[in-house]
Amino acid sequence: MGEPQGSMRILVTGGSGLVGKAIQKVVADGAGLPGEDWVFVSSKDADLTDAAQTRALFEKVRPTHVIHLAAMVGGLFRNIKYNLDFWRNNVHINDNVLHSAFEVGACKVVSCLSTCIFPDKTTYPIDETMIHNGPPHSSNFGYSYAKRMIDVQNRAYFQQYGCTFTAVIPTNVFGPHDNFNIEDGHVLPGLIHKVHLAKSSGSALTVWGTGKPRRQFIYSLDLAQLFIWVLREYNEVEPIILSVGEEDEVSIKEAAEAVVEAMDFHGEVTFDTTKSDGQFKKTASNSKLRTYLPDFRFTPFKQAVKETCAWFTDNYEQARK
Amino acid sequence: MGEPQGSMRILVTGGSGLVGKAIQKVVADGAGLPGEDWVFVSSKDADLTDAAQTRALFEKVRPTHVIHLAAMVGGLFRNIKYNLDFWRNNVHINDNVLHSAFEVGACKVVSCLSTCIFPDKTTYPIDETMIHNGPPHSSNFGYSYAKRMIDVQNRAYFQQYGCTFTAVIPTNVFGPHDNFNIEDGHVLPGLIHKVHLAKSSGSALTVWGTGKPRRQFIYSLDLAQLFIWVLREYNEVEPIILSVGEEDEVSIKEAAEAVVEAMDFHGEVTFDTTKSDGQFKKTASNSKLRTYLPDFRFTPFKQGEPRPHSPPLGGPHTCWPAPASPSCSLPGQR
Repeated sequence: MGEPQGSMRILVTGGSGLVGKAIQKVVADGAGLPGEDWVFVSSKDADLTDAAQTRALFEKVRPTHVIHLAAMVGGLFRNIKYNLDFWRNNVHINDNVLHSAFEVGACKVVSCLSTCIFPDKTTYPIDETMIHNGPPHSSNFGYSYAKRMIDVQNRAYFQQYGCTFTAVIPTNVFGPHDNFNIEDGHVLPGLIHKVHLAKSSGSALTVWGTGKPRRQFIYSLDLAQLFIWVLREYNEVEPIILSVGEEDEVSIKEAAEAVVEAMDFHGEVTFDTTKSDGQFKKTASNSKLRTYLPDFRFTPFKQAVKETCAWFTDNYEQARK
Repeated sequence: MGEPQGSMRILVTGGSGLVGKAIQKVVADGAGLPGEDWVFVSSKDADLTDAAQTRALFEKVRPTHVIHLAAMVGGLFRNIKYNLDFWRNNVHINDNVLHSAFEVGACKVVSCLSTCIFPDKTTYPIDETMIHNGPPHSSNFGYSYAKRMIDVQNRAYFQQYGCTFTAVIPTNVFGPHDNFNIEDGHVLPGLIHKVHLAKSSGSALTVWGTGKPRRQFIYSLDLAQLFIWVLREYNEVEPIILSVGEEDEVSIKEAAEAVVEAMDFHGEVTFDTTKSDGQFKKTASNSKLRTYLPDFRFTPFKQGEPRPHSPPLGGPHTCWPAPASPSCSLPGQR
């Protein structure tokens, strides 16, 4: 690959995942600009835990910009068991990507954090200034600290070299191409898969927990649009929360009801209260986003759920589950 | 190198530094036990920022235990400028050492943190539970976070594999073989070097700052004895502060006076209040240490200050608990 044709060559790591696929779709549907050359890579292209492979990838692609989505991720139970692997693999991936980007002269890197990395003991709503104000929840401390250290490393690149390496902090993302595995995946794709199975077998839908915990959900296609805006326009090193507002927080019960409605499920809905609820809430403020983009309109939750359910039903065979 | 002769082969990284040299001396003076094989290495033996070199070193030495002292360190001004290098180099060194130790089956690693990594906004005295309770001071955040992540990685080795990888947290260390560079070094060696120069040139001693900030100083030879005790006897994963008590905190002015007295300096002592004072205090609790070793006696502060060209006056007077026999398996028996 030679020099980028226009002004930007954007390398997207983790390009085959939930968020990567959403960015691909949004770009393919016309969000790309003339002069932008988008390159999506996945683990098939390089093992990012390996410094030499990562460096070779960056020297081949020679990006001017990077959206860094690749990570070792997992559900609650896998995290609890493998904190060392989640810490080391993610630290290696992140250092390899950030430093390779730096060494090939990329002028901007946008990484992806998560609201689950915030301090376990905190006030609400959480905001961008609070990331390091105390230890994260102990269940996934390896993953959480590795993500937090992206922010530390970003600030270090800025302090020592003036680079604009930054990060976004989405709340609960959902959409097509998610991991719909009931054991390992997140709550919304888990509910969608469960309803699908309940419909097929004529059984009840069993929601884990009381249904009372509250979450802010962001549709992957909305997140993709915001990611592209951050890449082009957001020039702070401090991260930015990308989320619907606090007023759009819903309970797990309400989320389950949206899935039931979208998939036209008429069976019984029960709550298995022996299962853990997880964190009661993680309410995040999107004030910073609203200062920049007061008019950005999120896809209404029920519509986004309906589209995701339809995708799952249409793509059941190939879906990750 | 074959299997350790006795029950322990201890690899000490950073063996040529302030603390490494102190451990060497204490071991040479008789603190080692039969069956203990001590191996001190420095940057001449391997570049620990390089995973392959580190792995080769560990495979050659095959330690059962590790005291990990090696780090990229520097004074305030170097830290402020190079936060990225301090972060990356130390993370690489630490990951290479910890993971090589794990892979060759070492049963214990004792790393070295610092009270400067604690949260900038905090209550006093600070203790071992408070390390991650907020961001460190911004001037050296790269170094501080790299050190903090040793504790995170230790806890992860324990959670996933049950390893006893732990750490100590000394307060201000001083002693022979320190970095006495006035620009880059720490306060006490800096004062010693300044008095030495002031005596030679017949000028005044200028202490930077107001002299009011307070510090707990720990003599490197005392720290070395405690490090060896931790290696043998301390089996928690949570770190342990190694320091004199809060009651032995002294002001920079008092520290300067002790140096002046020890070096028989009779010139003028002035305070350059245009220079930064740094943190006013970092008072740390040594309660946890005292719970384990109520009778450990630190070398009195004034006695512990060496003249640059002579050995420390007297020797440390310490009490040892009876050493227990090491109980971990040899490499390969994980």
